[in-house]
Amino acid sequence: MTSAAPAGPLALPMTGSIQRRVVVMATAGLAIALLLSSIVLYLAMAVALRSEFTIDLEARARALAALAEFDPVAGRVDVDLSAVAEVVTTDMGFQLWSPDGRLMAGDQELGTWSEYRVGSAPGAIVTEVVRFEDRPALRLTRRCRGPRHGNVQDETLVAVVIVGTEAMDHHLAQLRKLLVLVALGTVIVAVGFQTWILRRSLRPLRVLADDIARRDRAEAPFLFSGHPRPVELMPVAQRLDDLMARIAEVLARERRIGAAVAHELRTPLAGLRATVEVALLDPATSEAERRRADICLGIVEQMQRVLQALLMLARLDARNVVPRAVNVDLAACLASARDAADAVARERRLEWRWQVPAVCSVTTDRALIELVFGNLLGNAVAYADAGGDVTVGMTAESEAVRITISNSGSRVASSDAGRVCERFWRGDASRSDTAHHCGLGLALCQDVVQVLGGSLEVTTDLGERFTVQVRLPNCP
Amino acid sequence: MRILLVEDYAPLRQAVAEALRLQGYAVDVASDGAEGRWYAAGNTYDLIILDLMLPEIDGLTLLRIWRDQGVTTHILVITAHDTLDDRIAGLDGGADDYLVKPFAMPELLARARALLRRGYQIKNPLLTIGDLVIDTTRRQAKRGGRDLELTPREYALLEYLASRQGELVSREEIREHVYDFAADPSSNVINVYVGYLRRKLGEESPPLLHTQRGQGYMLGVEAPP
Repeated sequence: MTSAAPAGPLALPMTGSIQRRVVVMATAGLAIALLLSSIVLYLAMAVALRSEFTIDLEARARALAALAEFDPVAGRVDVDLSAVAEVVTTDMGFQLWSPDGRLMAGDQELGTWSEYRVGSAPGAIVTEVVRFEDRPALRLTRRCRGPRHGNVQDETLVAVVIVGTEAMDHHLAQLRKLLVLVALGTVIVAVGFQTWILRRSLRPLRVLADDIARRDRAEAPFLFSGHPRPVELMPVAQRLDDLMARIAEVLARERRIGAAVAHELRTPLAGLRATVEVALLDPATSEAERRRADICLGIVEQMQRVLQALLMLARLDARNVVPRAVNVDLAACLASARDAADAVARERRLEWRWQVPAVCSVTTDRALIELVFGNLLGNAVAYADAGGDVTVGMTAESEAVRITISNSGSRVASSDAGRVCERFWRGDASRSDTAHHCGLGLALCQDVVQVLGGSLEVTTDLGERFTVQVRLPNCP
Repeated sequence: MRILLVEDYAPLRQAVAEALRLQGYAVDVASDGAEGRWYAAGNTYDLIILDLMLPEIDGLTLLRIWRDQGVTTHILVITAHDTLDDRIAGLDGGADDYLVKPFAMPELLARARALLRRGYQIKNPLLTIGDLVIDTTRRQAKRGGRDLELTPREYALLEYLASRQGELVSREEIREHVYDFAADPSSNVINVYVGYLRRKLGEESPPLLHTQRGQGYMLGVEAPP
């Protein structure tokens, strides 16, 4: 069972791009506005055109009806067909019906009296869309006053005029196309313009982001509100300055506390150690006193290691540890750590199984990586079963180096693999191995490896192998 | 050799002073920066061991004051601050070496010896004058292969004279560099110890410890002109 790899950088919740949202919403609004206005404009134009068309048809119908005269010989209303030819045009169909339902002029083929809807009062107009000569057309039927004759009451005529509407329809189609093109063009131009103007408008935000990144690295104090920014961003800049000031205060307080802890704990420890060592240096010290002093010195050294680990962890927690990246030969660092642990390894008759290339360089912090290797190899030789082995391997991947440190005779069950990196966790609750290890080493290694941009994983099984795998990026 | 120890924490101050005296050094102790400054102003030291977190005047300020005044004595800083920036600040402030507390006493003594040798431009921990060999690391001396049984004070006197071999060293200089403030010996006491040392060096030829009346003493194969 493996321990969960420690959580990497925070996964920030992203809610989409402001620029994209504004452009989409503005464009949608513009498109809707354009659509509505185009529809209104089109309808207005269509109504106007149709109205004008109808007026024209009506004029023709009235002109036609005006040709009717009372024929005293025939005793009825009739039309001079030669005069009709002067009024009608070739593009129109027409009929002129007498009051008694007789077709006085026009084409019988167009239809009969009974097919028409006719208004009841003189001047009443009825328009209908029909087909004329296989073309779309508008038919206007008008009830007209008949000619006066003597004292006879006016009788009404019915004039029917049909004219093809292709020209009007064509104009309307052209208008539709024009409106669509203008709308589309406007939307495209608007999208482009909005994108450009937003990019320019949001530039101060990018500048602010760059300033924040620069402040992280800058040694000198930096005021966000001290640089020219748009009015809307000044409150943000001021809040940032306040926030940074509070963070700086907290860090300074932590450093003061850290410095105070360092002084308050280290100095008495130094006094204790010095006093014990003077006893060991003094030739007048008896053998029994030397033995006691030796024990005290061992305890002091253990306290020193715990203190050192705690201080380092406190610094890591406060993000006060900044890696200094240099070119480091990891193989050489591992070899140095092996040399430091070799005395214990020989004492415990451990075999080194070394699967490390001669040279393997990465860009990382030398002191931190030496701390990690020292701890891991120290743990491996301390916890391997006597007569067992410590296997160290290193493989270079495309963007990282993988280091594996494994010892035989693991004392940790697989169910505890996820806990070994907890601070002060110890597999043996009786603290039987208090002399050298306090349960902070792996926690420290894990935190340090994370600061270096890498990861640390543990696999173990009771009685089998305890393996720590460290993955370090080639560049931090 | 005479050492000034400036450390405010009493148990550490006492233990370090005792360890240095066991090695035969003359040690003056100060418990705060002002006292340390007073001692350094009135005496000449071969080495100053200086804590940084001091009351009255802190160690870094004291360091800067001494360097600005042209004090060239080697200074070993001891402190609980262990970051790289702290070390750089200490060394850039004028310290010659930097030791983080808690430290191993053997390491402090070794660094002190190294700085003391450097003060006299001595690179080799083994000083050789004729058939006299002085092991400054183990604080032992042999002449012609014979171990010299020296007391700590006698060894301190021998080491000081050897570090200035071929030079005439006055009683005043011996008093300043081999005895601490508390001791303050008379010139007679110095004469007596020089006599002890001459006897223990033996009568082999050539004589190594020479006396120049009215001027002082010299350790060397050749007598002073």
